Amino acid sequence: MTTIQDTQTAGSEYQPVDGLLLEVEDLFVEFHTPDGVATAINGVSFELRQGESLAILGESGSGKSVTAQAIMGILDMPPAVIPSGHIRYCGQDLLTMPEEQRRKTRGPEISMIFQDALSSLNPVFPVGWQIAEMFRVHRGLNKSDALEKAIGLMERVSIPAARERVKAYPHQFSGGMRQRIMIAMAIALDPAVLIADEPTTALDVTVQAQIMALLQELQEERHMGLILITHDLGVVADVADRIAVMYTGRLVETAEVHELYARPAHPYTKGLLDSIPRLDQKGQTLAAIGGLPPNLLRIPPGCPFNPRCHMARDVCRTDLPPLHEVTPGRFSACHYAEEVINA
Amino acid sequence: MTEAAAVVSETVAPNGSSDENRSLASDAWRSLRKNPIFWASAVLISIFVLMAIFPSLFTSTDPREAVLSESRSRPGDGTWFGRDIQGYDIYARCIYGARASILVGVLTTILTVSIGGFIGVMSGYLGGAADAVMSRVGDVFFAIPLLLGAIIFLVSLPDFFSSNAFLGALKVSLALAVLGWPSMARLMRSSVIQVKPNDYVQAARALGASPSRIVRSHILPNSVAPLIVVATISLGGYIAAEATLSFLGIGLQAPAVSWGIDISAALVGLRTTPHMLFFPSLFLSLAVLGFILLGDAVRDALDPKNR
Repeated sequence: MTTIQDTQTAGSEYQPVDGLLLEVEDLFVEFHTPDGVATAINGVSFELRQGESLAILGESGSGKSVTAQAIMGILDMPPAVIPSGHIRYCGQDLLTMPEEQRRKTRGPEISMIFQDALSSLNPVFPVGWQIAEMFRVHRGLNKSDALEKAIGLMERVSIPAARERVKAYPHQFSGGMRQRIMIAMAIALDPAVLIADEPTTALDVTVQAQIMALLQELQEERHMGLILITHDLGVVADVADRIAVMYTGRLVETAEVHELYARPAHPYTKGLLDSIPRLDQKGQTLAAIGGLPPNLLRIPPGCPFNPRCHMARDVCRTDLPPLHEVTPGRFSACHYAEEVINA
Repeated sequence: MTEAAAVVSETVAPNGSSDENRSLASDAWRSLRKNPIFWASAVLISIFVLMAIFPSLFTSTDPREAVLSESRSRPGDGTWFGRDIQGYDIYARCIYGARASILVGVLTTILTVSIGGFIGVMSGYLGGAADAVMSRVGDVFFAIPLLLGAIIFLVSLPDFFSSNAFLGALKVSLALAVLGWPSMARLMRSSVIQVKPNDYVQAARALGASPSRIVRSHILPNSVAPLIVVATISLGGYIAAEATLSFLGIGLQAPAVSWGIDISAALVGLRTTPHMLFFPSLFLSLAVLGFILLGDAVRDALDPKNR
């Protein structure tokens, strides 16, 4: 196997402390809309270590993509506002960093893959040119060296006949191949953290598995920290080490992946797990979570999940349950977490 | 191994042959080549450009040689297109008139595209207050009627601009550009606003591209097509506007040679010697038509819906 390790990253000014790459601490993100203030992220904290993969799970509007964009610093501000919180990369707070310094972390330090690879590639330039641009701009390589590196990367992400395809345009590739090219661009500068925002949602199921396998392989090969954002529990099971479940901008549960699958500690997680179709339930009605996630402008008092929760009691309608440790290493934001976990 | 097999099956490109790499520009060229209107306009424009650069290829007569004894003589009486009231050879004047028209058209287009394009990209990309200010300034210029604005502008410019033919053309171009850039800026602004929220612009930001690189590599190449089309069509319009201003006597002034000046001079004999009006008007119409047809052909080629 050929590995493309960039020697120039050795002298990086960012060195992880005890393997800790990224710390998100009590992060808030608000969107100021004409209808009021929508709090898209409401006090989220988590950590990411070298070689670790963390899955952030949640349905549409839960704040998972906004979290990714806040870490990358590509939120459109305004309308977005980050009133408080810290995002530390290797101990340095990205939110207080000058914009120019922060921009230079994007690509070589923290990098991102998007959901729809077709629209994430510039339609007017050949793919090889786009990958090579990363090397030309950030590393100052000349055109032919950069193109050679691009071909190497395309081979690394298993694009067949990379040398012949390097001058092809994005629309000449299939969805899976485009996502591979996007991955090649994202890992071109050897980032320490890779964020994948629903990387397989736009792909069909067989290709999904290949892309996830490729991501896992690259992560292990390069010892990256991987944040995998998804709404699909099936996709993350093999790849993620830890899962953080989000609901209405809050973390409701974090756990090791196998523990979470075996014994969820939050009714929402349990509902998500129950709603995965299983072969042995053929003919039965699929257990879906009733209702819809609340409008972020009108989050119900108490636990935000209480209107949809079959276990909700009086205290759930008045008191917001804090995220607390249920068993060592497992956190849940439910008043009755112990009850759920033992059910 | 199943993975490898699947990877191969996944790569069959949708449009067959994989060495045929189609960029937007080469696609446009492919479609242009098949369009007879493109060839007709290209031939017309080439002839006029050639006329503008090397008028002596077409005639050996001096356009300022007045043969007063043959004033208002008809076509065929020793000259192809006849002579005008001053006894100038109308054919030679039509040939030499191309230079002023093409020069004004090209200069004005360069000015409006660069000023309007720059301001349009800036206001579309930056948005917010910068956009509001630039758009309102554009609206102010947009609201000034072309003729009125051009008259005031041309009259107020110093005499320095009348000292030679090029400066005269530049003066008219400046007047047209000052009033013409807002439409280019509006067009570019809306095009940039359409391109800006695309995922590849977000992706470029996430991969560390600087704002200037985002504009140059991602926004500009994807938003410039409508500007190219409108600029080509407008070039014809600017030629017509130059003729209008010269006709009114505020654009180019004699001794400059311009179709507009000749059309104006021909009015005295409109009933008796219409050939004096006909030939400069024909040349003007053909030149304007050439650029408008080219613009149409380019628009068809760049519009993906027509493929």
